[in-house]
Amino acid sequence: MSDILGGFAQLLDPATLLYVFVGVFIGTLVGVLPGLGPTATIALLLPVTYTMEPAQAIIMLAGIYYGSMYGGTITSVLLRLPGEAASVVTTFDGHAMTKAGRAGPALGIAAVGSFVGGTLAVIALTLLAEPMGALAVRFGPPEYVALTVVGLMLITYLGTSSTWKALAMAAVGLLLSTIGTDPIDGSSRFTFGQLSLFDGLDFVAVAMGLFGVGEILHSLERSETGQAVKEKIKNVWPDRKDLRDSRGAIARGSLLGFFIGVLPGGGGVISSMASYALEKRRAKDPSRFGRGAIEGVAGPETANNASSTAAFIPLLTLGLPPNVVLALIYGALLIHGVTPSPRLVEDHPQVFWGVIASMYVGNLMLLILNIPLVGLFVKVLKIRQGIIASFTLLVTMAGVYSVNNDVFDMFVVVFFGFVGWAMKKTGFEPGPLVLAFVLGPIMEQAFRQSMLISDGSPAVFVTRPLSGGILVTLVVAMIGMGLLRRVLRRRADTEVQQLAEEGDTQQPAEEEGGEGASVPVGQQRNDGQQRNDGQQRNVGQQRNDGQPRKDGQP
Amino acid sequence: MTDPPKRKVHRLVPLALLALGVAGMAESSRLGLGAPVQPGPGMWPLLVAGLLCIAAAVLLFVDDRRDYEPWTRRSLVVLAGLLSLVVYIYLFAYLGFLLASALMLGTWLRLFAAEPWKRTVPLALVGSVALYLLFEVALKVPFPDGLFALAGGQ
Repeated sequence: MSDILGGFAQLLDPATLLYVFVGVFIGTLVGVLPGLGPTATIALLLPVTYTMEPAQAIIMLAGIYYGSMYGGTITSVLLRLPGEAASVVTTFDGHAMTKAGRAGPALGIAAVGSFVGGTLAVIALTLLAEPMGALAVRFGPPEYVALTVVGLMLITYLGTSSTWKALAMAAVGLLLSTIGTDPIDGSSRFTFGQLSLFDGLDFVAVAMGLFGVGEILHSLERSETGQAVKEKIKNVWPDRKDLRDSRGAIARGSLLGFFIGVLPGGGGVISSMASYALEKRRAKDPSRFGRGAIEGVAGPETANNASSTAAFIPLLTLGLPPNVVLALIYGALLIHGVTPSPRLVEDHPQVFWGVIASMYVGNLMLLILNIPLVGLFVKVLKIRQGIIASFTLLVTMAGVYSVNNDVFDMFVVVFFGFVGWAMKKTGFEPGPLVLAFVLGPIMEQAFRQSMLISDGSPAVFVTRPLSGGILVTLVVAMIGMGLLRRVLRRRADTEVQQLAEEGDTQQPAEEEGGEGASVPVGQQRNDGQQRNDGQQRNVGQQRNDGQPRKDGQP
Repeated sequence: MTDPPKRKVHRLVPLALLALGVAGMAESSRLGLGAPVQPGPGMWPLLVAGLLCIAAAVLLFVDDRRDYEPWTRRSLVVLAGLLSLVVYIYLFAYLGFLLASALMLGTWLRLFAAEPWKRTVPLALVGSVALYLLFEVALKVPFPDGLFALAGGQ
């Protein structure tokens, strides 16, 4: 218990507290902005964290992640534009509430639910941290191989693109991570005589290129205009009846979000969809859903916050990032010379407990700050995407240069920006690539050590009880999660379709959405990623429907 | 669902990945595989490149054409954007951050964001100075001096 108090003690430092604030503030902002998700933002801000203390850096990046979960709600509710993928289901009832003049309570209950879900997940994280760490210190190299394989396989298997495509990208990521000096015998690999490649490709440059520049280039291809909010927001605090109605949804959302978040490949999208499906199933009158049922906002919003917090458990205790955002945070820790591993809690308690303590405070800040600031955040939507893109590109270029003060890294960013854009055009996801790039060196080292231990027998990964157990768990988890996801996706698809059909009969398409609603047919499928899912009438028929492909949220 | 114009174009991507995998395997075996008990520098890359080959080979047959976005005129805009980034890097190295950034911000705002000149010019100037102050002055990043040094900036 004294450990967590130590974490809170760090937050007494005004500078640390400021980073929590900056993190959740930026997070909310990018959650609001369609086109710039938490993944791209964290990638772009990696260089900025260089000058910070490791704990402060991670505290800020974590704040961006869970802050963005809340920000996405705002535009979903007010404009039916999910700013990030996990908020798609919120558009169904959230926007219906806005049309009924209840935008305030919708936002309010989302904030309350997010706070409860986030806080409960942090409490569970606090309690689980030590036992998990204690188990994990018994891991040897074969266990690490098994664990990293599990992480990668689950991400490729559970990601939103095809499994084979994700696997191919993971392999490319692993291959790219071998560029540079061999960690054991010091010979150079795949460097082709380039001096700048001797240290390998810089993780920051790769991530910034794939996520930052790639995403900006992709958004350049679509022309989009600013959005304006017409509705006046009042009575943000939900009244007693609202709270009573959504109490159950918040409790169930917290649990569901937590468990899905802990699993590799889980993350915000699946948890919010699962919660929506659950609430609708449990409702006495399911027909209210899609017409402004407050549980339909409270449950999913609670679940996505709980899962984004729970996702830190595997990273902080096992040293394994369960999704792409956490892979970036993993990379940020490496930059600061902190290797996430089961020993993290002993070797770097200030990072471990500082991050956990910051989440309590960050969730509280989100609750207190966001409600009065909603008006400010929606104003940001008026800024045209082209302006944001121009400035983001410039910050990216300056930022990546600042990492090693090397112009070569700028070329790397541009190259991977091109690759990232081309991947989006061809339906490949950058997520598995980056995760594999991060895990590659650890996997290789553990693999080579395991082979030494076992006298060259690959059976070691299966015969050791712990690593064998991990691999068996993988198989079980893949089957289980695959089934769960299939059911959820099918259910979400039919629901989206139903809602879309109902929407059609209830009101003509022109009424909604303003400028954002008119998108040429050829672009619909891709835009479906975030802007249009809620707006298109034919959402249900498309491949991605209701389940947008946003890389940060596998 | 609109069909991409050419039927087989999407097979090019798995083919390119397959080529990358094969090249990776060839280069790995050249690096030295070592023995199973003590893998050499090429062993791990060989396994990984092999995995890539398998995945790419499967993709040759199972890849869904609907995953591929059609190429439009705006795709050319993106290529122009990429080219401008490369130009920016050279300008950055020779003219220094401030000048290069002001020029590039101006270009992007005018061309990609289609802002009118009266907004482009002030935004480009204020933006580049603000970022200069942030990176060079506040974060102490040693940008190349470029022409700015001649003007007495450093």
